[in-house]
Amino acid sequence: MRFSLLPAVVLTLSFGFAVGDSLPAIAQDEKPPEKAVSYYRSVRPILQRQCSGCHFPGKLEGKLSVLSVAELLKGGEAGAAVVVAKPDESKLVEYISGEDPKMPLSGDPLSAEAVYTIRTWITQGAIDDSPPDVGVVITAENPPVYSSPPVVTSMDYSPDGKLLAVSGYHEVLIHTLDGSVPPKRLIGRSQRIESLAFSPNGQILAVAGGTPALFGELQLWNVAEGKLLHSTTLALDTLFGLSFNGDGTLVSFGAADNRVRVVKVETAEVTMRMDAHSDWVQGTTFSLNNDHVISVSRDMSMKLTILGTGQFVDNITSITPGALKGGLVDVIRHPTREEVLAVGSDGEPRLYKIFREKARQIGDDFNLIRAYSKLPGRLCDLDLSPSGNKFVVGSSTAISGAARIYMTEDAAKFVDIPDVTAPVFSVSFRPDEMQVAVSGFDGMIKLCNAETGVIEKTFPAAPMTTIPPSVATAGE
Amino acid sequence: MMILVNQSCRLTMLAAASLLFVTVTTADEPKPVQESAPPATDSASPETANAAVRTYVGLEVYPTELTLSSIRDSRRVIVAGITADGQKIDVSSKATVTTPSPVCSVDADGYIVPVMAGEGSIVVEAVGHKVEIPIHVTTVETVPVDFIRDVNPILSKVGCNQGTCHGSQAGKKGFKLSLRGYDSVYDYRALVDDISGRRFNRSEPAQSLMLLKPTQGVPHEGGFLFDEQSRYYKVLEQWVAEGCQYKPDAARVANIAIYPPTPMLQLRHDQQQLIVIATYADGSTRDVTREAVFETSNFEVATVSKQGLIKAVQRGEAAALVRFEGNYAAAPVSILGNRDGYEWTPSPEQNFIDGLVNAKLQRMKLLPSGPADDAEFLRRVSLDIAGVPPTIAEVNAFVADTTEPLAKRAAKVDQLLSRPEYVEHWTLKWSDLLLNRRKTVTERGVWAFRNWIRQSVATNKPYDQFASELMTAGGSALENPAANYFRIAREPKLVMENMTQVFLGTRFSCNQCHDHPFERWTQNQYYELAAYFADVGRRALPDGDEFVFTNVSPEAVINPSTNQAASPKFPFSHAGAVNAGAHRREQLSQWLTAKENPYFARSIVNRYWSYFLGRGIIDPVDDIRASNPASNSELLDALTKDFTDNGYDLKRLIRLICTSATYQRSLESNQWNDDDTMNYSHAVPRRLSAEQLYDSIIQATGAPRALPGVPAGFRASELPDSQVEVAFLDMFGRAPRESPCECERTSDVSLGQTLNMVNGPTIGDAIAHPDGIIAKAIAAGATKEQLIETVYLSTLCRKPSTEEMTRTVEYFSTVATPKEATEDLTWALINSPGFLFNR
Repeated sequence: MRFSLLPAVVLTLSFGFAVGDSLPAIAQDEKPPEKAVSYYRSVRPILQRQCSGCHFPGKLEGKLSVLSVAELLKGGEAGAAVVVAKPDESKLVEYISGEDPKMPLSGDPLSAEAVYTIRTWITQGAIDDSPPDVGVVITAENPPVYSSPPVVTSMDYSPDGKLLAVSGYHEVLIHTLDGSVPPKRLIGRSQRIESLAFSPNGQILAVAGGTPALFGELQLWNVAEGKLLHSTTLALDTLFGLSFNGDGTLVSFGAADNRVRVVKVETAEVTMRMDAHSDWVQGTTFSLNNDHVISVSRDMSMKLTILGTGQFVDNITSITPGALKGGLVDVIRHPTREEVLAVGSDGEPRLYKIFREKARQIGDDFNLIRAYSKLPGRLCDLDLSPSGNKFVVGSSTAISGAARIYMTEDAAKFVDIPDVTAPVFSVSFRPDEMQVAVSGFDGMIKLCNAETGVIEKTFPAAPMTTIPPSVATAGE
Repeated sequence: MMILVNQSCRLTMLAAASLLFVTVTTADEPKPVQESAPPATDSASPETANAAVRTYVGLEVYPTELTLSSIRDSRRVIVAGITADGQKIDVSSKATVTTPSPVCSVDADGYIVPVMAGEGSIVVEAVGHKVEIPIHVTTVETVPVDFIRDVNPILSKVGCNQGTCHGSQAGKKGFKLSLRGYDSVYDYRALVDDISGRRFNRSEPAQSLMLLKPTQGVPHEGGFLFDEQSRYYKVLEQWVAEGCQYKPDAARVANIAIYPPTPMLQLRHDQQQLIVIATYADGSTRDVTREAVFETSNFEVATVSKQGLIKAVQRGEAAALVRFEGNYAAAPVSILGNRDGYEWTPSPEQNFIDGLVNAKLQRMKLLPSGPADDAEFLRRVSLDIAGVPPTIAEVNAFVADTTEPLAKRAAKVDQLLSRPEYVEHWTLKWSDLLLNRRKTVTERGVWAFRNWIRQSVATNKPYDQFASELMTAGGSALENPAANYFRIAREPKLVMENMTQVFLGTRFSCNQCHDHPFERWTQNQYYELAAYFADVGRRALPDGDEFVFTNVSPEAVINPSTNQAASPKFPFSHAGAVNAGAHRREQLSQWLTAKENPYFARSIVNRYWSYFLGRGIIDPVDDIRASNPASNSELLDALTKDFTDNGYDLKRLIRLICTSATYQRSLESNQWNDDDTMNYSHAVPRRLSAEQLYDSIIQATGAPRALPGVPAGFRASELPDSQVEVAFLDMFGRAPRESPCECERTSDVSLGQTLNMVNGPTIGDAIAHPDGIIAKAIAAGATKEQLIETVYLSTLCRKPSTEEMTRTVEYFSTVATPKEATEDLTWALINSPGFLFNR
């Protein structure tokens, strides 16, 4: 019977942490206001992401653009896409609803939640709450206006060395190097151009980019005519690290969805997809034999993939020794050997054999041929000369930048490009190997002597109204 | 439950215990110790008790004048209405601010912003009163938005860089910021050169990803954070338009201050707006209320909004914690609640402690309890100073002593301080804190180090000297046992962590991997401070001993964020002298023990206070930081000053505390202090430590002391370390000495403990021991009444009350033998709070 004492004792012993469980009500201020669906914050992102690839002024499928409320009200071939307060009469709702919706033509149907959002917005009066300067749609008729040069993320010389294609905002600018005519402007849907390249014969310009957090886009342009041959919307964020294969029939690129894709230039159809990376893929290149794709990623790995099957073969590097967070950003194949140069956040360019000659061991770095002297900050871009004898690298600490020309076969020799102060995001070697182009954060393009590094010419990446002094001095 | 019952138990015990429990527990029911919520007496009819019935006779505006010294400087004022009885009630939210001057304007948030340089004024109107204050605008020159000064605080304020978002280890969706913005270069790079400038758009700033995401112009999992019209947006947009500037040499924030520094609110729903002013290293100041991050330490007492508005929830005390750019501050918030009918009655003051404690009690409208009686005081002070309860003879002598009570008690304190048990008790405490255990220093080392500590306690070694001897110890660890300090922790980082927690009362371990989340300590400082221990060399000696020496070439303490060896540097400087030519540990010791070190003396004084009053003035005592404010900083300051002015004399400190009226208060509370848990208005019960409990049981029963591994007669508090296996001690939470945290010694209560107390052999065997007090008293022919009195005295250290005596005598008549009845009584009293707790 002594047990019946236990509760008393337990009670006594445990009073030390008896906690009052009556939580006081916390003062509630007021009820949240009734939820109105915002066009700008809720509807617009859905349309941008899932519809605007075909229905924008550059393409106008079904004569419809979905980029503004005005255009939705105006509608297309089928009638008004949106009828104020009448969702059931709005073609937009009809086309995206139901078991097997008509739209999107290719791609997954909109989620039930997205459809509900659009319906509710129309029911509530289809109010346009866009901030005043958002309605502007950039097109060839309404080109970007620059008050300061755009940050340059990518450049490429044409194979004949006469043109320099430069990334801008919503466009690619094709400069003639003699400065005889204003740059040709290839204006597209993507806000950001991440990577561009001329085809080996110089006829086609491939552009990888997109609008961050909305979509990725591959553009293929006829350079001579300035005509967009293909625009393909892929992934939900931008594409990166584009390169052509040897005969110019394929392009490969990476993406923020961690994938590598290869697309046929003629049809713009995806012929290969590789999923083995675990972070954004920022650089790709083809093997000399054009039977493999090599890709580098923020996941700090360099991967080898069979082109025909998309099958992942090997990590060419071990986990990059000493790589900082941010991983690898660019890779390029040697013009005459099965070797690749890779650069990344650790600031040290490295040359690798593509194909392994020894059995893999965890943590090994057998494929490494040579490591070159470090630049401060992270390396952002790389280009090899056509002979493969030299390469140029740009780097950034965000506060300052540097660019250096290396001798591929002799790690001890290099030429620094003087007077580079702003972060360098893009470099390119002119095919005659006499000149390199360097640009980046400040949007100023510097053409430098490839022997001495001396800057021969400096000009803004895009035509401007004014150059504010704050930009001119940024990075100093 | 049946299976738990000891089959050999006697039915009679139940009756005895239940009878006695009534008596024991109702006589002085213990008060909740810490966590129970104070009753919400003030929550009734908040509306009627609110501003409606307040009438104001005037206004007080803070600050009384404003200076705007930059185009982006903006300031607000806080406005208090003064009531007829002199209370100041925050009416900032009801105030309208206007300006008749062209030099400034008032924005939508009520902030005064500069328009042109010159002198002017603003007019503040609220609750029918009006005040005008002068404004000075010194310049309106354009200044570009700077990343460190303007942008990063916004990223912190809206939460971009918090641990659950982009500040997490892997970032979110490919975008990573440093946790809470501790690394501005990293964050600048994340925005500017990661992915070649993806996150800003200079061509069209409004299309910058860093602006589209928080406004949900593009999908953002983190949700909608601000709109295009907000100040945050405008600042970020301007920063992009100006070319994303970064000034590495921009002045950093030196400190932040909160106004009002000690908010006092009356009733539930009362509010108080805070202002946060940052002072930069160049001496400039800035109102950062809209950029600072606010938190409450206790939302059951007061909430603090993102805008720094405190709302009272119920009576109690909390702290408003404020963070801005790696600087931390806290304002203690008091919610008085409805105290109608409260009146302060002067309470005796024995020394300066009482004056300062009483001042706080008056401020919080608390009324202290009366003094504990002699027996209560004697048991409390004996356990606190010497670790053991008084013997029967001591109780009788003390109670019978007719000396003037204060003198009698002071003499008792002195007497306890000179007893060998005092030395053992404090040797045990310091052995815990210094982690003396054979696993690290071998059994010989444990005894040697323990003897060194014992010597230090016995001679009342000045505390600064004690610490200094440890920091600079060298030589053979057997001959110079203080050197064991460097065998217990063998690498610089660990030595440093132990040192900071014990001797500075701060937790540096948090900033090993990142800047301290709640303090100004940075990751760099962790390694720089550790580097002071990088020159400790250790060489094994043949007999298992070790030789500790100062190595001429210190080992490298690598800071992983820079991958470089850290150079020794103190995390804060003070006016105390440090000889730069001395070796590293010598310098550290000088810096540590300097009178000017704001943590060293203060932390030990606070720690010792907690040993006697059950709660540190800053609590936990080894987690001192700006966001953990003192409940009575004047008291802690005064104690610290007395300590440093008087030679770091720990006995003097104990004497001061134990002779104060505050320490000698009764456990019994009154209607004006029964919810007090942190202001020392009444005594709080504290569970006896494992060793105290064990030794008390042995003393109460008179059973012989027989612990394993030590000679007979050793008390539990004399054991060298926890490797001496005594299950009872482990069960009651003795310190395993793995970490220097006070939390290592637990005072939790578990079912296992309860069962052990009720049924365990430790107690059963002790009570029934043939050489015990009961057996002896019976053999000596004691009467029933004598037996009862003996047991009360030996267990609870007091005589039974008349009622207790009557009821126990009645009970004795129902039990077969006096022996059995006496054993029952002993068992029941040992299991009562009066025994288990130090009250």
